[in-house]
Amino acid sequence: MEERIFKVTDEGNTKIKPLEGTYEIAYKYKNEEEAKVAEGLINRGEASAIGGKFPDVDASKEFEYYALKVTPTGPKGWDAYASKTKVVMALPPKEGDKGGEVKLPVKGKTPTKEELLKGLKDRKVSKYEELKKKYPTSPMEEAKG
Amino acid sequence: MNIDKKFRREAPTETRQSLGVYFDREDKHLAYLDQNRKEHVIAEKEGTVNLELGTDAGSSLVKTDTTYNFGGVEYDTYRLRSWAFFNTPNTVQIAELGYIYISNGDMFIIKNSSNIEAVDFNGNLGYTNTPLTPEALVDDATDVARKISTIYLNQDNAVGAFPQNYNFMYIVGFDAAAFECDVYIDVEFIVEKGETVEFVVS
Repeated sequence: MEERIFKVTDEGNTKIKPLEGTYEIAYKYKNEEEAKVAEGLINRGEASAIGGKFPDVDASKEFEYYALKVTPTGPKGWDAYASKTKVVMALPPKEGDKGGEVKLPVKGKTPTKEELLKGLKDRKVSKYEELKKKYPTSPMEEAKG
Repeated sequence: MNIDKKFRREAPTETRQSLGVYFDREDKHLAYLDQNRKEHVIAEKEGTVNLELGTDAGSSLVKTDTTYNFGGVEYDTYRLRSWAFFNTPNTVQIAELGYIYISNGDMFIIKNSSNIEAVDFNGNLGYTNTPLTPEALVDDATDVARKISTIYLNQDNAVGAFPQNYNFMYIVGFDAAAFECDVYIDVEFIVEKGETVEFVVS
């Protein structure tokens, strides 16, 4: 069963609940290149893995850090946050512990009221067009005018 | 005789523990006194609600006096009211209400007392009033009320490149056949205590 291993927040420490994306976990051992050890999906702002645990650390090597990389992919039409890598100079969390959070920076500047109102209207139009494809006006109703 | 004040005098005392509810005319609220004669306000008297007119609806947002404490986390409560009238029959009806900005965290709607009114002159006569649910009654040119496929209050905070702090609010309804109705939105939502909330009517 998949369980949360870390969550994704914005710079204000708010969990980005609608966020979909992918994640990668990389481990760095002394005298070795950083290497990817796991990857998976982020669903509604939470990265999860089977058993809710990070991959085991190779105890025969000297561990330096782990890195979490988050790449947002949605939801559809949504592109508010830039990808982000968080490097933690410590051993990865043990099974059952949560790996904290990755804070994603917001892209661009704070939107203006005009931009928001335009976005609101544009979204209404796209919702209407999507729904109208599924629920078209019948020819008889169109004839009635 | 001042009935309200009479009730107040008979409110519970240390030896009489029954609940005595009274209406305070001066402060315009409904309240009771506990055994220590401390006043507890049950409900404020409703004042005038000014619905600011927008493109598709008139809306109002006010902060209420209610706060919640859930596991040590405190929340403020806000009340959103909007009236929208879908008077032109269509299979898809969408009204934009505006956007609600939360300085940090999400908003969660915890109460929905919204109503749909429809005409039923040629059905069971009069008007129908049903809650805002996917099976609410709406009408059409026949003036007979019928169930709709779906209608709901839409809180959308995943819009374009805007951060999730901006909640775009719509009323969305759709059905296989064209419909019309009046919608009266009345909901309460919580945000974490102390966060700034801003409502901009569209």
